[in-house]
Amino acid sequence: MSQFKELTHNIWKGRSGYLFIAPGYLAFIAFLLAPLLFAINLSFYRSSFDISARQFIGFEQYIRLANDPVFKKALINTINYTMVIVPATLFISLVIALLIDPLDMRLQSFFRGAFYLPGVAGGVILSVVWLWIFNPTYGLLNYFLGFLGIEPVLWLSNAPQSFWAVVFVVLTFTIGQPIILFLAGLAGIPQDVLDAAQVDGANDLQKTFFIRLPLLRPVILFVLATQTIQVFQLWEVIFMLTRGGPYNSSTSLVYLIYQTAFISAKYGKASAIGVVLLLIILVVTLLQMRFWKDTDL
Amino acid sequence: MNKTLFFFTILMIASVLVAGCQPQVVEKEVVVTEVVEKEVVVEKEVEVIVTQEVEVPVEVQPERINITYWIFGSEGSAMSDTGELWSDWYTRIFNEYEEAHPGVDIDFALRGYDASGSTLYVDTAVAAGTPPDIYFDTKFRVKKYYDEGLLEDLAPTLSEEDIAAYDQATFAGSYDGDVIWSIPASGGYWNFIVNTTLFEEAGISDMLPQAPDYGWTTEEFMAACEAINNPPDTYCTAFFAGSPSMDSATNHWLAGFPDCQFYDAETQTYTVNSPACMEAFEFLHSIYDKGLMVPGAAGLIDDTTDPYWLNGQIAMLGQGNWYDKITGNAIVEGTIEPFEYMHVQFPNKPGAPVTPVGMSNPDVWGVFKQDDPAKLEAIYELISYMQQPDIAAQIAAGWGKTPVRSDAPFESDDPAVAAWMEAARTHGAYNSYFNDGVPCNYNDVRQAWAEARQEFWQDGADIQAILDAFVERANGIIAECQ
Repeated sequence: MSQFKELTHNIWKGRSGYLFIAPGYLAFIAFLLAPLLFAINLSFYRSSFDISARQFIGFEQYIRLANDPVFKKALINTINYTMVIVPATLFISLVIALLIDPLDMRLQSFFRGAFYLPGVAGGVILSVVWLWIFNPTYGLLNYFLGFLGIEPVLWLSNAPQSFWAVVFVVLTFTIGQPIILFLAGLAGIPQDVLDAAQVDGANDLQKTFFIRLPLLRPVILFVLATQTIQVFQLWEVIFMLTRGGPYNSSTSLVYLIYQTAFISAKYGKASAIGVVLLLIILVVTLLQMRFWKDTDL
Repeated sequence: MNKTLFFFTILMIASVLVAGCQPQVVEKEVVVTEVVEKEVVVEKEVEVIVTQEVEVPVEVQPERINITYWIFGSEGSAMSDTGELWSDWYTRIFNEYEEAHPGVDIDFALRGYDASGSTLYVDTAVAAGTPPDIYFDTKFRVKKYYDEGLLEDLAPTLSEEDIAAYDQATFAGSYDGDVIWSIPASGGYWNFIVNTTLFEEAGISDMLPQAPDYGWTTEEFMAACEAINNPPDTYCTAFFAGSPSMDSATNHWLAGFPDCQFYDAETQTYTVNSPACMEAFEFLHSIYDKGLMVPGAAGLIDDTTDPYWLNGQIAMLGQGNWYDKITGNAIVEGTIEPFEYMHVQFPNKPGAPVTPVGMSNPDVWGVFKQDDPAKLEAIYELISYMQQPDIAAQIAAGWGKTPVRSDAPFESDDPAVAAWMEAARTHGAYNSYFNDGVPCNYNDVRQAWAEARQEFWQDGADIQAILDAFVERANGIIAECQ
């Protein structure tokens, strides 16, 4: 009882704070939490347009998913995208940030803008451009490959190439933000630590590996976590470039959710796929945080 | 671990509670009251005032019926024959109708154009419980609402004469047993279109089919195809399989193989893996194997194939009316170098008759289920009005298509259309997907068919295995809803 009194006293004491966060929190409940909870519930139903007429089928929905070859393909593709794009983004953006960091401010600003601009343009605009670059007859890519004596490649029509085409396009706009973050992180490293290392005889490479990278660990973890979530939600590039094809070789879980919900109008099945995706992202993010918390670079 | 389990349990309980907060359908309690007359006796002296009863006629205003009518399209789209905005044309038609039918208000809107070909706007309205009363769109997009039991039977809107006036092959797809779930208004003339300028420049015009039938065998086609093919400047033909859209461009080739049935309405199964269909697909794949088509079919969609045709890089391909329309528009706008073209039949296998012409995926009317019988009656009357010959003809001409009603007073400046209509009368019509009726979950089957076609247009494709896998998957899809 005393605990309850203490709780109510604390709430009363902080009432103005709660009032300030209430609008945002109510919006969070209305637009995020409630739809999420409803989707979780809907995943146990067979449902189409008339949601009120949904039929409860329980875990049969998930059993069907487990036996659905298209779902399995989408899941494998999504995991493959994450395992390729996330490390590549991390590596490329880190290397670029380390190369840009020593430059003077004006040059730094130029490169910051140059690498960040594709991210501002967004996946849709870039995909439209790349759709034509990848065109087997008109495309710029095959045109330049022709100078090297290479036969035209069907970038979006053949199975392994379509996957890598999506990877490549995604990388063009995902590296921008991490570069900015890494540059900010590098700028925050105390100069006297680097000077002390210099006095001790450390060269640039040693300073990078033994001072800069360890001190950048929080930023690396943040980029890792956010990029993983972003890649798991990959959709617009697939929609614009390949529509998940050919024969589902480049599809992802989110694209499958879109197809299932908005083309096939199977809201229950789409919700189930969404729940699976939620659990995967949750587990992966928790594992990442646990791993990075306990590991020294 | 306990904390995790605790939070997970709370999450599940909360999800059930939130889902429980759905609007429940509450049956209205009907309260019956009974009027009981009571006789009251009052003993009192009263002054009797004699009044004269005068009957005053009271004008009873009929309850107004509001009908929402949506068509698939975007604001600003215009009729291809007159250039009049569709919104203006419909406003005019409906104003005339409303004047003739006082008490009826028609709320018209162009809804749902989506680059992916989906009907998201309409789907959202349906899910929200506020669908339009009437929806006009291509058959496969309207069908999905019928599959969910959301559409009315339109048989009461048609007389025997009306039904007989429709092209039966096309109309067959609107039946489900005795139920007519849609009425087709207009369809494309899905001939094979040929860039005759390319053949003239190559000096091989005589290899093309001639009047009156404009028919040719697969062997004659291959000879012309190999003669004209000169990549990358000129490709004989093109296919696209990047999306389910416009897959009639592939299916219409089956018209030349009359024993091949994509779907058997009697057994209600897909049968495209039969030996007769294998013959057709082996022929199609030979076009790929010999490099006679635009490369990358598995990754191309109709939008990416259009420029090849408009730039004169494709000699001939299916889906004639679409290319007829875009070529005509491009020539008028001056965005391409003009070239001559004509329509011919799809090649038929040797020994088979001249291929029938196809009019698949017609634009149809569908009516969402109504609770009010009076409103349903008004909607039936409106549909009956819209599907009559002269209105249907204007709709068809506006979309650059032909009316499905044979008695529609239809004329087109395009001689190809007239030739097509004559050919349809002579050789009959071919329904490229379904020989009778349209099975359920058709959109899912279309998606599966797009994936099968993507696999088909690859080096060394195992055609039989691909068709077998598609048939198994497609029959499984329709078994779920049968």
